[in-house]
Amino acid sequence: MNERLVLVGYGMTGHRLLTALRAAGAPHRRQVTVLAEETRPAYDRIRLSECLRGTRPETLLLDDVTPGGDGAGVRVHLGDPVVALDRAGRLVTTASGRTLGYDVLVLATGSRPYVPEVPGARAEGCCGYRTVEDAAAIRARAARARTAAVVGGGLLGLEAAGALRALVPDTHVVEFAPWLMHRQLDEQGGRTLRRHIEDLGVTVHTGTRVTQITTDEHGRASGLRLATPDGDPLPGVDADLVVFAAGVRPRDELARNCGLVVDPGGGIVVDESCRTSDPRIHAIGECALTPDGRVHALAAPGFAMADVVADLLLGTPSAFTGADTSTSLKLLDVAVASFGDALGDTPGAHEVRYLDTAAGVYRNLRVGDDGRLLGGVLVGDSSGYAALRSLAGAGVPRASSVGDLVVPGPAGPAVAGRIPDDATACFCHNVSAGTVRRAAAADGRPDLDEVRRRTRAGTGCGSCVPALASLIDEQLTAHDHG
Amino acid sequence: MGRSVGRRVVVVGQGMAGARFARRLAAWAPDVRITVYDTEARPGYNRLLLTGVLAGRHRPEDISPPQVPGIEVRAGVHLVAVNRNTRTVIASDGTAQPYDTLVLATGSSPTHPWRPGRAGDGRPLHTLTDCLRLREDTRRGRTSVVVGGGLLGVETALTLAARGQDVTLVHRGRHLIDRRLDAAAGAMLRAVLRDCGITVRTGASACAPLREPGATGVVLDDSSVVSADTTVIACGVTPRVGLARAAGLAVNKGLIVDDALRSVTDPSVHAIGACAEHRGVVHDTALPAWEQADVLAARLSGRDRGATYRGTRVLTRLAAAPVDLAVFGVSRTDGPTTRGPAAPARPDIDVVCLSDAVRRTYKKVVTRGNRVVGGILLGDLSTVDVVRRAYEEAVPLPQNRVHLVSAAGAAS
Repeated sequence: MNERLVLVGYGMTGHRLLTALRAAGAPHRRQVTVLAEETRPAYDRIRLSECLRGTRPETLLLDDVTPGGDGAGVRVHLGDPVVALDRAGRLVTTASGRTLGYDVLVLATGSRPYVPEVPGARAEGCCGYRTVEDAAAIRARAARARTAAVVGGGLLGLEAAGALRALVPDTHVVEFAPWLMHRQLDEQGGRTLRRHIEDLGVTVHTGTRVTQITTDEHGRASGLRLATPDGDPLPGVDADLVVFAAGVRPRDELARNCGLVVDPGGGIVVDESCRTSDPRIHAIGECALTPDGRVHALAAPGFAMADVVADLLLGTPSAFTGADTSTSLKLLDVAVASFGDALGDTPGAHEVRYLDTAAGVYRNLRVGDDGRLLGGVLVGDSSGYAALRSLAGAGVPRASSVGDLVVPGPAGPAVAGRIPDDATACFCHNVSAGTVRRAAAADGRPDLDEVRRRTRAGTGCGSCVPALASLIDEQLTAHDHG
Repeated sequence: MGRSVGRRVVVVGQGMAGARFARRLAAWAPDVRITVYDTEARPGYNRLLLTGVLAGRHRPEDISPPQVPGIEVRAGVHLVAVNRNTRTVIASDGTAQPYDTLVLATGSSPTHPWRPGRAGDGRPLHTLTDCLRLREDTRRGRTSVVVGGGLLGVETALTLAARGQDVTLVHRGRHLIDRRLDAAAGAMLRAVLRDCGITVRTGASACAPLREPGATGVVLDDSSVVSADTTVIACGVTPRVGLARAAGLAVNKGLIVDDALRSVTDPSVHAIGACAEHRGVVHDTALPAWEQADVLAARLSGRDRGATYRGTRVLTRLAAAPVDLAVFGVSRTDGPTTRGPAAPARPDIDVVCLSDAVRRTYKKVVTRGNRVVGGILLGDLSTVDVVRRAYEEAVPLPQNRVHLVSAAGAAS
């Protein structure tokens, strides 16, 4: 029996699902059809800012996982979004009028940029920042713009600001929360980051919301009216390019229209198998609301959900139990990292902090009552991040304090030695430290590349590579000492 | 001898500054006739060691340096006036002592939150007599309340707790040692004291002694009561400047002196120690007192006529187990600021700070430009030598400052 699997949406999460199925040799036992709204196949949206810098979109494309070994494969229809879903008849209808029957349907429709409901938000010169098309529009507009204003001071907004800074004489960031990246950083972290960004010439407004986009006589964006969250007016900003990077809203219209359970605040409600209220329909990625009550606007949770659905389809069911929300990146050349319980929400959490205001370095590790590392925030220097993240996930009580781990500088083998075997080293591919150690201790003294090849660790986002290197070093040293 | 030191030097006070000055001057200018007055009817002693006496580490007789021959000490004599026209000091017994040079080293008197009336109203820990009486009181009683949570109050509370007292420490400020410590360091210190069995009440002002039949202790401003067998007052000190003021010498907080430690009003009068105000600062700890004493003795003896005092950069240390604390210079920098809750408010100031709430250590070094201007080291003094050198010698700092707060950082 050829089960018909229809995948609605071909973004990163949909691509992950296909990759997982293909790795198990599964697609040709199914008839898989992908219906995508965008006119390109899946691309790495995380690298979108490269398009702002002029990189051609083609370089962002993810591996083509559609061809099958024996001629059967995955059929992909680009630029033809699903517009209706008939659950009783198990049919989807696309914009071009195509209809397809399904046995299993997976909704991976992602999200759209949140645009504040203010006058002028749809004026010419206002752009979202999500797709390759958005990036092209921004870039074109930036060529003629004097001032760019990015609405949203989170990860996405700061990435956009970083790229715009090179394109436009004046760049502003407007953030509603009291400090930048408030989901990932604590107050001191957010403020340390701000100082770096301001030193780079970007003007930052926090505790500020946009009340109106003003327009010129041609209806083009000319500025922002600003206010405090309570509505008290603040001095406005002239801007002829406005980029909305203030969050995303789930694309749940299809589900809503066909009677699936959808959260009033947005998001298709799913259980820990990523199943919707209809047993034949799953939802993964940013369009879904998981049992922990969250819509996850990061790649890693989406991947985890795709893996859960793939496991289900392959007959080895697993559950989505929340996902790693850690991040580590350079924003406008500033190292920023956040992992585990970064903000110390765990009751009884203690802080172990390092602050150097002259260097703009702030590192805060959260430690539980029993001494185990819960999470942390790193700004200005993220050395030791990979090892720290593994330790935080391990949940193992530690005899010695984390005090010496918070100080910046090469931590290396000292930290790696403390990572227990069952701690996760690579989060993208769920590879344990023990697996890496065993691979490194194998005959032939495999190097980093060989270990990566054998274990798949370090072949996803790459943020764990420093920790892998330390684990390998540790094994080499042990080997030398017999 | 050359210069006009004169042959008669009168020193008022034989505390940390006065005694040191007299000893130095006697050694460097044996021809000078030195007379030292002090209201305490006992030999001079090292005030730094008083909590050690309280703790039982030192005997009272051990904290007095040996008497120096050639110095006339008139202990137990109160001076009531200085007549600068005739250059004489007048004692309470009517006697007048002429001087060529007068050195006021009258120190400070403990601040008392209420006028002490009866026994049980509370005693400061300022003199050796205070200390011995407190030792007696705490042999008889089991509970103590210490009023004032500055450096001395915290040290006293720890010393009493180590003696087996059930101690409550009451402090008006929002956190302990709030003039020198950030709120975060103050909170850590509080946790350490709590673990020693000391009850800490901050944001609480003791406004009157508890005077009820059979009960002693203090009444707080919220009308609650802390009853205790023994009450110790540790509310700070005020410079003793009555004599100087009456003599028409310029007094602000302390007797105002220049870099030669001369009164700005009268060059034949000098002041050193906790009664003196130099460049707007009254130094009320031992090391500045000794430094000033040495500078003045060098000038007046002819040993170094050009010696000047420019202020003292020194770390103040509180070491009363299990607390180990060093604090110096500009140390308090927290406060709401756009640079974040842990960053200094002033834009020209920076901090390097390593704080560990698990180990209860707080190490902060405050810098301006590339110089150290202050800091706090609490619970871990492994970097104190590096920090002290940088501060006291005004050494320019490198870009990487981790070594100031982390011994491990120094290795990299």
